[in-house]
Amino acid sequence: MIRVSDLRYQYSDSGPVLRGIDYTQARGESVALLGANGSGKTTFALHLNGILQGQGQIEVDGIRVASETLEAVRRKVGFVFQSAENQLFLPTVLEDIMFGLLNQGVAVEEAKRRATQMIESLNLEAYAARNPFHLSAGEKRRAALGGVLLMQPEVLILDEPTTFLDPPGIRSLTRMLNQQSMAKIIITHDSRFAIETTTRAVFFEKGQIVAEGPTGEIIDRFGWV
Amino acid sequence: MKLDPRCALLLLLAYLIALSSLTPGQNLLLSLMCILPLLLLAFSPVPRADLLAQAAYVLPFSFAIAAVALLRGNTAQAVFFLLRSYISILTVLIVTRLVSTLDLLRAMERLGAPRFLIIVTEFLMRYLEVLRAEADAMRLAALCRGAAQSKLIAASSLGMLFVRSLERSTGIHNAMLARGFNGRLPRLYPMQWRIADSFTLIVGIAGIAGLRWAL
Amino acid sequence: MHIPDGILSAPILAGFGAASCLGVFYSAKKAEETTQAHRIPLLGVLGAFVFAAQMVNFPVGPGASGHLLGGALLAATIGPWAASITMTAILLVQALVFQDGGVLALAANVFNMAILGVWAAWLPFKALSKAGHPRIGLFIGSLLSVFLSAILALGQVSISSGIMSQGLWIFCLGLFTITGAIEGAITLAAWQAIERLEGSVTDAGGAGPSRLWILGTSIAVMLIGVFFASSSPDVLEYFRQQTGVTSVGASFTALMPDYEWGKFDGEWMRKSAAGVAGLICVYGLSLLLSKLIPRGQQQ
Repeated sequence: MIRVSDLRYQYSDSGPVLRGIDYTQARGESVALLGANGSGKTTFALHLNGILQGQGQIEVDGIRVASETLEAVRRKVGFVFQSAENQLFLPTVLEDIMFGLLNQGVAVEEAKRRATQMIESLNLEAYAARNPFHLSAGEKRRAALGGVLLMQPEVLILDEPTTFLDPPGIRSLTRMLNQQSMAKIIITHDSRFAIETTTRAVFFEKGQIVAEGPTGEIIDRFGWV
Repeated sequence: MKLDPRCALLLLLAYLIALSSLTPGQNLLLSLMCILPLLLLAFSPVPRADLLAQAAYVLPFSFAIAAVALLRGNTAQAVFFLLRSYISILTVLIVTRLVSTLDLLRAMERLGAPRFLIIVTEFLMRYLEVLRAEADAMRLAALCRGAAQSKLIAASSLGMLFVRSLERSTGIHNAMLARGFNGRLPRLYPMQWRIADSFTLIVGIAGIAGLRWAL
Repeated sequence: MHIPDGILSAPILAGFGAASCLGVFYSAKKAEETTQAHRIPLLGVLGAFVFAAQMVNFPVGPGASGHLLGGALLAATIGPWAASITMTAILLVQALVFQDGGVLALAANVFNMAILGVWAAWLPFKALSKAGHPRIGLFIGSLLSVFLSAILALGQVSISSGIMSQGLWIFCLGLFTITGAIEGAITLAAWQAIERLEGSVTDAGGAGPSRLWILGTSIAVMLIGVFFASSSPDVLEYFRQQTGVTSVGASFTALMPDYEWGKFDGEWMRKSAAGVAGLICVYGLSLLLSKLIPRGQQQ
């Protein structure tokens, strides 16, 4: 499903952030990206949907990630960002959840119908016409996830999805994710959440993948609790 | 009956224009013109006492003008400006309670306002409370460190708020790209103009014009 | 200075409304052309920043504090076209959500603050930045932005209400100068703080040739200068008064005798209108001449 070869990247105002990453992921597989802050996890993930474009090769479901294929790649790869506040950028929750479908060319009425169904499944009916600012952290996270799931991606990337969530919120998110059959990449510092939602983990250190294996084993090896 | 926001906006503008065409001295006619918003207030599902009070809070500017007129011995002119200001603000308050600001902005776009302006305004409204909350958090953090009156802290707060705004806009743009944004924001809100809206607009404008010019 | 509804007269609203519409439409067109897609959210977020910045109290003296108004900072960071649109968005939200400034009065408020205010900030900043003094340009731009937009607002209110006296004008001029200076100081402080954090954030985008700067400054100076114009006779009139020489009958009727355009009410409006018309005529003639005279001869 995903194949990355020798990925290298450097921000304009820093040293190398990714130093030759090789990575593969099978269809339907869930992988945790673990590692210290600044080790390159998010930078790596942003390459998979073409937000960042470094040196090296990336293929998603046989499509090479390049400037001319971004539209096709972004239909396949859904990204839930760490900041739900930035992800929910439209004036109302309903419009925001519809946004991705409209960009895919779905008609307004059909997009509205599907978004309304998604909002009901997320128990957010009361907020459909409201400014997303008024949602709680957990509700924002659910809304952000709902907007991405509606696009039916084949790969779902989540960046620190448990940030600001309380234990019930984390449990609810865990349940939601385990119901999804697409390939998942979860960037997290929450080792318990990683174990409950993924089967494999890779460990980042200073821009390189230094280890990979079953999630529990990687967590134990690096003391990531 | 839910009025098309364009109809509401056109009626509001028509009323404000009619008011602005009055000249100081036409106090009686002004008083008669006040009937329309007061009737609207009486029959609308809005918090009447709150709106009547709120309209008074925004009068300091008009008070200054009225005060100068009073000092010159022109009581009628002072009353004119105060009353016209008050009834204008009250009318705007009633309409913005009945029709959301978002709908009014979109009505403006449908009536010809530049789309680019309305998109920017929507982003502004979306992030207004977010940035105000950030500024408030900075202010509290500064207070906790005993820095209530420091130019350096104030300047640094402004600088930090600005830089965070830049970073936030990059994050927003990435989120837009990730969901297939292709440079053009889709329009999401069809407005349906019905016969009832035409009827309301014609009757409304006739009423305003009749009150203003026929009497 | 946000003018509420109910103060301005219909002719003022109509005139400035037309000017604002033209200005906003043109600014939106130029802003959309020059704003890359990734900056669309930036304009809205910076508009929200201006609101948030107004919550930051900046100490300006014993027991006194001011806050950033933001027009100049916006102009310097995102360019005048985008800044005009962002300021218009701010004024829209202020009018509709906070009733700070009227809805119909947007006709005047948008012109005063989003068009005049932004360009009055941008032009000195751009000119002095080219000369290697961006900070001085920013300070002067901020001061002019506040001062000129406040003066124009007061002029509009004065003409509509007829209540202003010369004494009150002088007091207000002093007040606006101080407010403008405070805005300059705060803008400069914020700018330096931003540069420390982010490096340079100046918008490099060009916006109008230098002749617009000359025209704009001329109009601004003329509009203000009318108030300080001496009522004493000039040399020729003095000579005529002293020697008893009477005027020779005019061989034609001037369009605007005594530098006043009779179509308008109020001395300030008549003189200003005549001044603006004269400036535009001179500017237009100069432009025409520059096109007609072959380039070689212009050296």
